[in-house]
Amino acid sequence: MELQRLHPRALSFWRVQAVIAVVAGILPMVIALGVVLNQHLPVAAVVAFVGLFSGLSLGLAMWIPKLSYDRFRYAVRENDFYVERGVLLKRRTAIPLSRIQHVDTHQGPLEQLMRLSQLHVFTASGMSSDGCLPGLSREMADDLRDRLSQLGNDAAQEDGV
Amino acid sequence: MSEVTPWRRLHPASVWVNALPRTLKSIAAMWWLLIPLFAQENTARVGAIEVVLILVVFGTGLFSSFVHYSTLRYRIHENMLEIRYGLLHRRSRRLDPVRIQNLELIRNPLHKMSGLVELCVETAGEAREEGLLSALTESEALRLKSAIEVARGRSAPEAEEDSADNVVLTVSPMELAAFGISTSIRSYLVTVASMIALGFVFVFDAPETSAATELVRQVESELGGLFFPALILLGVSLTFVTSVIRAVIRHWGHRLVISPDGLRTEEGLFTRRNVEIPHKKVQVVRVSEPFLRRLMGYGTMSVETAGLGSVKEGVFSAETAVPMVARDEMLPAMKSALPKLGVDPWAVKLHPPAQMALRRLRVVGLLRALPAVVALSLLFFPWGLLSLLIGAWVWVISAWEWRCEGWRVGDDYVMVQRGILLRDTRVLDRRKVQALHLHQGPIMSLYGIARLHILAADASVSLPDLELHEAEAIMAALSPRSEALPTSA
Repeated sequence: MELQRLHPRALSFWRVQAVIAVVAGILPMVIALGVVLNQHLPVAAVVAFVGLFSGLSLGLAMWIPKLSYDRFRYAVRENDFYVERGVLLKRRTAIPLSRIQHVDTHQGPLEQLMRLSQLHVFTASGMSSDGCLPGLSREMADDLRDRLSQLGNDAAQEDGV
Repeated sequence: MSEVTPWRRLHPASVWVNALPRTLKSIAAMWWLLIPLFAQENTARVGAIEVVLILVVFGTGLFSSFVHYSTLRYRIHENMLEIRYGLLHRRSRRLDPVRIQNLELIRNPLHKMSGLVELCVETAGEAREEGLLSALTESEALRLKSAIEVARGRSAPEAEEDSADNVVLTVSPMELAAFGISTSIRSYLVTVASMIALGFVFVFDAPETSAATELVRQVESELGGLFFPALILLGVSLTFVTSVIRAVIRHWGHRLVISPDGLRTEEGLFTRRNVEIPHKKVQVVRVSEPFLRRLMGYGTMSVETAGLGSVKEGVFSAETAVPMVARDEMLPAMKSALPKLGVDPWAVKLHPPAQMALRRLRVVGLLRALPAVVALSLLFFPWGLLSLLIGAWVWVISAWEWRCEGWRVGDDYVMVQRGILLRDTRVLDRRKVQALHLHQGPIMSLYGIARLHILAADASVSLPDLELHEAEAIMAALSPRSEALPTSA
């Protein structure tokens, strides 16, 4: 079974998320640090420091999502639902179809704007979902949700609980 | 149209049986209100506010107990256990008996005085809710239990259950004392450290001269150099006594029994608990052998089901546990929970982790130790260079840790053992696998190894670090629908 990739818009979605995180979380700290450094260093050096650090952060915010997107693969196989992801920490998850309890789709405000949807696959192993596909088109997510639910029902002989 | 089953209610004595525990809960919830009441200097003068406070605290427990009695109804209707209760918030629960993980009969001293019993029902993914079917007559509890068994599709248990039961092991008072002694080295350390700190504060740092300070200073002047060793001895003795008392109260008269459908444990000095777990609900069986307990030739066995176990007295997080299992009784005890287990985890040869896992352990250990070594070397040069010995220690301990790890996958189980001071052996029923996660961090990727986490409902087992292709093969094989289940036997 060939592994499938997320919808291309997922890359834009992750980049927007990363840029928001940089602008809201890192840039204020860099600027605050620049204000402190301004008391000891010339203005040009401080501006260069802030500019360099901001540029680097924004560059990473564009590059890391691309790596994540390239490494994210999933497949609905004969016996299980399979996901592999991760850049530094590589993770692969296999959820036997017979163990699927329920499948949810979820859309945050930004995802609604970009017409994307998240798919969460739950088993009896915990409160959170065991398998998550974060960037599917709405139609694909709905289709996959129905398909996995159906396959789960067909496969369920015993739920292991 | 099915016949309507009448609703049943709790025994009227449930009002006073529940009143005290609920009052204690109210006190625990309102302690911040009560502190000013008891902290005031003139305790002889009790004002209207204090009276109201006392009435609120004690009246809340009694009132909620009365509401619980008057609103709770239960029945088994159309093979489902139905419970409804609540005054302002009406709740109604409908449980499929097949989904019930375990049944627990509880008799606290108030139950014993009234001849009543509590039936505790636990389902998957749900924390145990005690105090629901909180006061039934013994005959009614047994009738309800039988009805649940029948709804589960089994024959009703005989009245004389013990005749068909097989007692696997009992825990003697001496073993309980040994359990208390070996319960936690951390408790010993914390108590001893607290005693020493208190000793310092009283002797050297207490500004005011209270009776307690005077007494401690007098003892210190009389004992001289023996004062702090005496404090250490006192700390150890206090921990020992409290641990033993706790163990005796919780586990007195512990029995592990195999019944036709599963296993049952009975224990408790004041509150008698009787937990019953069907074999097919067992997810993971774990035997932990802390260092002191292992020296004595014992371990503690816990059995986990899909219910969210509650932590009782910081000892267990499992549905039931046997506090002291002798080495030669470990296999029979484990087989009482997993009858299909065909090998002895302590005798069979387990597979080692990947060779590269040892390198990873050493690299990670050295990286963790590096900041401390650098800091100590720079701050306390040249004596700080002795901290380089930490590196040698990491090198040796990593090899020891690696040698203690082992795993095995059989037709019906997944078995993992690890730990130097605290040896931990886990056996997962292979039919209970819910999801499989394969993790590879940067160093693991470098060495071509991976770690497989096997998740069951409310329990998990992690295999030691294996070579990537081996971990992938096991991951593929553990899928419950796989035709051929490869084993490591």
